[in-house]
Amino acid sequence: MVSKQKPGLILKSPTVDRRLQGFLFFCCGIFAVLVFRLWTIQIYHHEEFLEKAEHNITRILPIKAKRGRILDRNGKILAHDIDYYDLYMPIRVQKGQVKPSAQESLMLLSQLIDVPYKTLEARYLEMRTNPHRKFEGTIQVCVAKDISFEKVVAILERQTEFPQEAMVFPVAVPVRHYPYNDAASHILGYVAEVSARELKLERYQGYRQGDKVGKDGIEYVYEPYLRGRDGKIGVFVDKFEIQRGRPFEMELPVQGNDIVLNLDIDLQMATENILGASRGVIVVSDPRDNTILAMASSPRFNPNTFSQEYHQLLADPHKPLYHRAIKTAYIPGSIIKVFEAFAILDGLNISENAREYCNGGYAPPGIRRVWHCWKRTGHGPMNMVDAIKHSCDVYFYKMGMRLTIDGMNDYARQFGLNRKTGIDLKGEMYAPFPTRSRSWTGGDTMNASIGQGKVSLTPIQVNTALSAIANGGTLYAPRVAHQIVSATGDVVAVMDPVVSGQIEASTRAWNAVRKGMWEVVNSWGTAWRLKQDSKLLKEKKIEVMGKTGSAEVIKNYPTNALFVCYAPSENPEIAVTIILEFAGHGGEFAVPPAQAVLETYFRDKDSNPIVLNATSEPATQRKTEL
Amino acid sequence: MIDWKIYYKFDFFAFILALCLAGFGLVIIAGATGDVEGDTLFVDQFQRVILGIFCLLAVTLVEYRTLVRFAPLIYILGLLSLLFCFVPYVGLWRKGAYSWVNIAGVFQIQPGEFAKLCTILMLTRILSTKKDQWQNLWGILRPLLIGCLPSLIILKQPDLGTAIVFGPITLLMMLVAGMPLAYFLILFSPLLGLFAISSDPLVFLCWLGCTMILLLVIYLKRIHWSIWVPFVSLGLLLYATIYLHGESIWEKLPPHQKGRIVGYLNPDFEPMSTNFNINQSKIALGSGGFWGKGVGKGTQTQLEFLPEYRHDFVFSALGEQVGFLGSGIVLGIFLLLIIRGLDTATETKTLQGALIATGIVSLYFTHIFINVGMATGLLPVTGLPLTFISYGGTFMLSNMIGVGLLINIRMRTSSELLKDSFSSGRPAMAIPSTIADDF
Repeated sequence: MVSKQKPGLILKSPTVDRRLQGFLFFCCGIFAVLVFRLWTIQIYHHEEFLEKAEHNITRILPIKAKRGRILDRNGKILAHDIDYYDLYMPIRVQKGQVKPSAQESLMLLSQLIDVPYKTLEARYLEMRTNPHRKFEGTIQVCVAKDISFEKVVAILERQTEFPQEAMVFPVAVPVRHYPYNDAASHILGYVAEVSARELKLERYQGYRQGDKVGKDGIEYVYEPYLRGRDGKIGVFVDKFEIQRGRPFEMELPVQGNDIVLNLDIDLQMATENILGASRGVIVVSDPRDNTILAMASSPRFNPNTFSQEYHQLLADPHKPLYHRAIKTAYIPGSIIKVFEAFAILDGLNISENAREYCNGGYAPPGIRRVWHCWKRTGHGPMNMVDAIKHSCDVYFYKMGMRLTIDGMNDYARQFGLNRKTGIDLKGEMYAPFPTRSRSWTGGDTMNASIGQGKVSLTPIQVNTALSAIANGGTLYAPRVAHQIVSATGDVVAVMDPVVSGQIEASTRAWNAVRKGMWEVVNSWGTAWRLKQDSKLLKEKKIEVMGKTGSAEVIKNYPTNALFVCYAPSENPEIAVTIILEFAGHGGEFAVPPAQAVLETYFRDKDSNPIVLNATSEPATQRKTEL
Repeated sequence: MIDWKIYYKFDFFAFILALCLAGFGLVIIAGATGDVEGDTLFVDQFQRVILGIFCLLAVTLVEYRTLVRFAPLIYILGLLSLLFCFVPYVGLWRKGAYSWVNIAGVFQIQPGEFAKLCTILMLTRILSTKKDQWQNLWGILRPLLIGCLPSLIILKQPDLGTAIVFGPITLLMMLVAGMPLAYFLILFSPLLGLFAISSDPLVFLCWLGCTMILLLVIYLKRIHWSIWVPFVSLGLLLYATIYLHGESIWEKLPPHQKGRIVGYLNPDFEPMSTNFNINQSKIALGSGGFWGKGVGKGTQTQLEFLPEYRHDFVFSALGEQVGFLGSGIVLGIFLLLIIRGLDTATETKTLQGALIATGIVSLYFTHIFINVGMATGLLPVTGLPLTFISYGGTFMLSNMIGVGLLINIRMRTSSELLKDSFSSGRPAMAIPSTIADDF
């Protein structure tokens, strides 16, 4: 055959050609399918895939704005933001298990930041399933929070040791810091992440999950001013969520406004030291417009370590989280007599010289019980001035029975004792001043007339009324904040004093009450120690007006010690209210602290005059960490 | 020795098509990588293209029938080189497979790519010697075994993608060589049935009906029982095994292959893990649009979202950078090359020439179909490079040698026959076919 002539030459049959033709058609058919498929992907669904491709590589990351600072009246920083860092890592989890690369990263991280590996791993897995905690628009999750700059530097130095697909990224996050730690902690408040419930409120519109908001005090009240505007940065990332190239979009964050307070932090710390460990309140204000100079409430908390100690603080029986100055209504005791005096003199139209005899007790008509004076032996004949000076109970029992609770109520309203003062702090409380009700008895009136029984007032109420007495009759709402200053140093708003009432009293009444309060301190009254013990006040010839109080809260137990005073007697500059829980008699225990406060104030005033220094150095614009 | 005159008939068309494709590949790979690395890759691949062109020219020197004569030797060499992959210090473990051989520590080659060409030559030899081979079982089994042997070795490496390619090559060459279509269907019926039963009862019924018709055809065509009984029973056995022990087989599959199958069956399932690769590939293609993003501006490749964009997913990188226009042009060039190859097979008068050309074309076709089908989500993910475009030295060389063979055949088309017929004194005749070509 053919193969014999030339080996290797074999001719093909027509079948081969036919098959080749079939193969060609088959190929053309397959190519048509491929081209059609390409058309559907590349032309028909182009937009959809283009969007997905952009979503793959673009990330809009928020840059947290710094919150405004809180300054005291001398420009000292009470609260500011410092940069801490949150550490982010891409999600590398499969079937609920952390992938080896991520494990390696977490292991190294746990060495560098001193956090146990188990904690990090648990947090990593938890964050993955919690969609709210995802880093904005990315699949990175936060593995550790509030890492200091030094540790971040340590991490960055060893960044090459982390596996590439589970790299750790520090993101600068401002963290609130309070340089004076627990000083004025109740006034300043604290910040925390906004809760899901709060987000639904109108107040928190425009906030996002994870934003920090003021939860108490100044931080809460002036939140809209303090809050900065977050910036954002748009970057390209690769598959491993690592940034590539320059950012394509950038919006710098705007720092929040600074709040300048009326508070004087030195005086505040002094008052807190004076209070020491004992429970109680000292409120110091400028009576001319009732601006708060200091407001110490003990015990306190430290807002810097607040979040770690939160449960401990909640469980503490002394309630350190409670701002006693504005939230606790104390039985005022004899303090009330100052305000009641106006009611007696004007409301009953009784002469200031009219004398009532104190024999150590009084049994009102129709009641078979004797109410004793604090001095069982009796004070003898007392007029109004003497009654205030000696804090004679019997005088006020008798007058109180004539005045009735309705008369007291009228005057309590004038002094703002039956309502909130309107201080610019969160959560002010008050106890309603007792009114005549069906169950009201003569005995209740007797108690109320010396500020016992059903009467209770918050320290800020007392201090506001005291300021009104000191400044000649104008009731101002207490103000902690003085003004709001933008980061560039412009004054945004000034908190003007708000008049909340006017005390209408005759000159006769004014003179009598003032004389009474003067004698309490200066004429061997119940607060005689104040003047006699103080060299400074004597030297400077500063005359102090005051009134002591001892409120019996629990029978046969030390009373609450109270003292209110203002100084100097002419053109008063400072009004002080002191309440010490279960300390004993006011004249004995509340007066020495008051003396200390006054001495501190008047000593510092000369050496270091307190000036409202609004234009402190402007906050520098925050450097953006990229 | 060499008749230089035949170089007047050098097939510049196929040569230029191959160069165009290689050039396209160079640009796309350099553009996808970007920066400094892209330049080194470009130089690297450029050197290989040059080397490939030299190989192409070298292959044209030897008459293809001489190659067929030495096919057994070449085939055994090919198998040995595959086995070298398993030898310690010589074989290299890369990307989870022993598919590389280290030569003197300088070159690393993939013998699997050359094995494909060796197998094509061996199949040509087997399919062109016996004239009555379709009448007995051995005649069918022999080419199948030839095709299976390297495939099994490669499967052991394990490199599933390369192993799969041997199947279509063998079957297509057998079909072109004249295997009745009925056999082909007999071979494929069980596999189709497997797909049928896994999808839908209706599809399964259709398949059952088709099988009935097939059996009827076998009966009517009087195909000898010794041929179809073993295959049908083998198919039924395979089918029964999978039906009874399907789950345990499924459990034994490596997890990444399971994921690929699951991902193929549910394209929207777990886009970030199971379907990540195919999803990113589609995004790359789709975001290219008609005009593409421009060479070197593909975000999917530059930012490494697209995996293996130099090898298996190079088509997606291409589609992203030059769009539908570019990928369409590349597909067009591929089709032209295939048409040219099949035309060569038609033009040549010898069976060996036709079969070699068919083998080369089916090699290209399989690579293109699987690679593009995978990139567009038509087929499950299998690691196969794209002819001429993908980055890789051995692959480029083997592709160039393939084109060299096509050119070789075309150059010698008319001269061979003339010389032979003159020398024999009478015109060559086609071999009469004794059995039914088709059904």
